[in-house]
Amino acid sequence: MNCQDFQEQLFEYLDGSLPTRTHQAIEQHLAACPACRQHLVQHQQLAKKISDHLCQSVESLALDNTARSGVLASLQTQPAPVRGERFLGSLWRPFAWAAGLACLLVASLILSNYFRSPRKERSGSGTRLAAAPVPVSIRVARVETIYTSCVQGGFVTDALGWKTNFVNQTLWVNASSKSLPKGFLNKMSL
Amino acid sequence: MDEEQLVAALRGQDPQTLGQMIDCFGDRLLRSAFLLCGNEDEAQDLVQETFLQALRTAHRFRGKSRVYTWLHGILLNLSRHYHRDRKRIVYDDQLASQDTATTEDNPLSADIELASAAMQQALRQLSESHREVLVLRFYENMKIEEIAAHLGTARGTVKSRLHYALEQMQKLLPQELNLFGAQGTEKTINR
Repeated sequence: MNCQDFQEQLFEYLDGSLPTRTHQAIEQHLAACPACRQHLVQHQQLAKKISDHLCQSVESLALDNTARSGVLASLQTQPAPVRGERFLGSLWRPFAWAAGLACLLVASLILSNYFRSPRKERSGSGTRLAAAPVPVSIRVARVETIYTSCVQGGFVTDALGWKTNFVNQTLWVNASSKSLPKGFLNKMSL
Repeated sequence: MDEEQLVAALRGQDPQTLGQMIDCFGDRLLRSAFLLCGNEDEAQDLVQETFLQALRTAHRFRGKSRVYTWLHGILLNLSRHYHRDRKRIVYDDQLASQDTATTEDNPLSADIELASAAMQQALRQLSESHREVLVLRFYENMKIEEIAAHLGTARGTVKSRLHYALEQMQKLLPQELNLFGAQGTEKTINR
């Protein structure tokens, strides 16, 4: 037991709700530690002052007769809940669960359909179709210039060995892509 | 009247026993409500609504806690709902501004009222959650475990809130709290 342990368990120590062993350990620590003893005394004094004040500041207050009679008057207007009503009231709960699960299922189906369809344009109005990714097979005979921007654009598949040798390679490009720089195909001898 | 009778009175809505229960717990609930919200009119409304809600939900009370604790739990929830749109609760200074002429003849009473006003001011500056633990601990005299169960929070959270609330009170009230002591009284008289 050290000073930090004591401070952490100070409230429970004052409540008397600690296990006997911990309580004894705190007693031993207090016997040996004047700083914690002083802290305990200060805490008790402050707690008593706050407690006394809180009680003093409200001791003159009493519940209004209006409030009391208001509660009693409600007995005449408000029927007591009976057990049968409670039972009937609880019947809707399984249906609520089923309805919730059904809603979740429908929502997940809609969302998965939405994300699985690449042809739909997700931004903007949502009605315009994106460029259809029609792959075109091009036989490359000779390349004069390497367009690295095309690689970065991601419109040429990685499996081509792009930077090493284009000759006699099959190049798959997105035919309708607007990202290919003008003259790209012209600079290749197809 | 024992706890079972009280619960039976609530469930059966027996006016006579219900009236006795209001007499038994009404004032105590009102005082706690006042400490939580800082306004007597609101506190009266809160306590009335507490009893009305207790009547409506008596069938749900399973007797795991004492009736007063259950009622206080309803009060606490109502108090939170009442003030959920407010970041700071506006305390009225009713107690602090009570008839000061009568206190001139009684310096001790004047001390208490000054300290009371200072305490109201300090309570006003605490957040709702810190004020709650302070009231539950030092007015309702609840143990840490009981406060945690009452608020539905962990014991560690309750303790850290209490530590913070006490630190704040010490910062806000170093001199005013001394008014309760003999030296503080002398200082006040000499002022």
